[in-house]
Amino acid sequence: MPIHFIIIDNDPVNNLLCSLTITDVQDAAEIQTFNFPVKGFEYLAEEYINTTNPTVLLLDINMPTWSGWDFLDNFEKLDDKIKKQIKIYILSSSIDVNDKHRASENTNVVAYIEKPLSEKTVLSMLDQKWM
Amino acid sequence: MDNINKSDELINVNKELAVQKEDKKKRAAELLIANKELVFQNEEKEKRAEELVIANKELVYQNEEKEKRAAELDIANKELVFHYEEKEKRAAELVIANKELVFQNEEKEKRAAELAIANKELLFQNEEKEKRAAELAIANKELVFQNEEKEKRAAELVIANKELLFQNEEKEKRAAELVIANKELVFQNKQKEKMTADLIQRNKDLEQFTYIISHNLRAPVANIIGLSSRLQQINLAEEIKKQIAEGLFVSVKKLDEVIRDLNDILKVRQKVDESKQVINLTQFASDIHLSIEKMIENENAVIVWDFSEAEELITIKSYLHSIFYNLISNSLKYRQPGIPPTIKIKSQKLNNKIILIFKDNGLGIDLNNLSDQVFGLYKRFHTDRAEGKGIGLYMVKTQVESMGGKISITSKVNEGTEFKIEF
Repeated sequence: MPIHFIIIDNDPVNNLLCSLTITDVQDAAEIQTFNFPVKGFEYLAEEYINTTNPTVLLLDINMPTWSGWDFLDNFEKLDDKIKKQIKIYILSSSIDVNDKHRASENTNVVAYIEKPLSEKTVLSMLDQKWM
Repeated sequence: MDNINKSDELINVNKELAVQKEDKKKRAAELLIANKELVFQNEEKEKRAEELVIANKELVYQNEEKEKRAAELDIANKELVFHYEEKEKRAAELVIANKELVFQNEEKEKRAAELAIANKELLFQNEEKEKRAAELAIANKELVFQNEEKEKRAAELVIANKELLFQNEEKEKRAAELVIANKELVFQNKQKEKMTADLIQRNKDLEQFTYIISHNLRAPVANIIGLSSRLQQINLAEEIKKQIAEGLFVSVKKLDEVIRDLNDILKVRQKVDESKQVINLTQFASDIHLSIEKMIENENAVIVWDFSEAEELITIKSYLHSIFYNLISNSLKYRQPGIPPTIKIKSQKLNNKIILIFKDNGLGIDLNNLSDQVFGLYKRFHTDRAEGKGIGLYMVKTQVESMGGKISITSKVNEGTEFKIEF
């Protein structure tokens, strides 16, 4: 069961809320938050190259500089070894169907989750099978 | 001898003379008788002479008559001679004429032969013509029939023509009406085009609003939902309670902010009520400078302007104010550290257009295909620098466009940014 979580969102309140929710479900979870997608991307590229670290990544869409989509485009270019370790969930306040549709078409995205993040959703994330 | 011969001869001559005397007696008897005869004849001759005198006289008369006649004949003769000569001349002429006639005759014979051929030809043609005439007669009857038909038709056409004339007049009236209607439609069409353009713009705005509502407006709402549900948990640590309360406050403030932004945007998007006015740019810039003097002083900034090329602008004052304010504060916000910010504003005239240029020496943006997004709502490019909301340039663009203008940007990282506004 993965206990690593990465949250990429420029909204600090959301990040707080996610941390609270995740730790409620799994007390021992390690949570990394990034306010800037580029920083989160760089972290993945550097830290995950020589590890086997099943990680849930919560990704916001509407962010300055890189949007969630920009992040996904760059993520696609990463080494498969890294990608295998990451399960990406879009976590967005958006209730826009276009966003949901676009997320469903991206093979690197496991699911689209509407904010706020619930404990039930966190539990389902932990149930995912990992290679 | 001689004398015997002579007596024989004298017997002979005496005998002879006896015969001759007898003869002379006979002869005298005869002469008497003859005399008597001659007397009778004489008398006869006298009678005859008398008769002859008479006859002579008759002959003289006749002679005279004959002479007269001869004279006449002579004349006649001369006449005849003349005639004869004339006739000879004539005959000569006739000979010539005859020859001529012979020639002519030959010619005529040739001609006749030719005419015979021609005649045959004519005969043939005549037959042909007769056939043709027969055909023409039939054709003529047909034509007569057709003619009658055509006359009937012509009569019908005259009626139809009158009808068409009437219809034509009606159509002309109608055309005149249509011309008017057309002008009306052209006008309406232009109105509709304007409306369509307006609607397209409004549609884009609505799309933008939908996006804002689904993202920016809902973001704090989602936080509030999450945080407030968490608050209902029992046994919350004081530290966490405090974090939640702070989060709630920030989210509610954020919600209020977005609502205010939306209100500002909607205000610009509403029908432009404020009328355009002539604005003296130098005066206008001075006023703005005065109103943000403190901000300029704090930033140690220098703002210079030159509106000599185009001194005046006809526009909506409040919009122009917002544009100046947003662009200046943008430049100050994204200034380069360590260098006093300088903003140069100037006007240009180009092809009947007035162009305003704002140039700073700020951070600049790596546009790289992003020049469209610079003006997007809630788009930010310097998140690590200053806390921009991503609404200033969106408002500027909205206001410029609602006045029928265009805005563009050129920028170089660490050198500065230039905005060009065309009115």
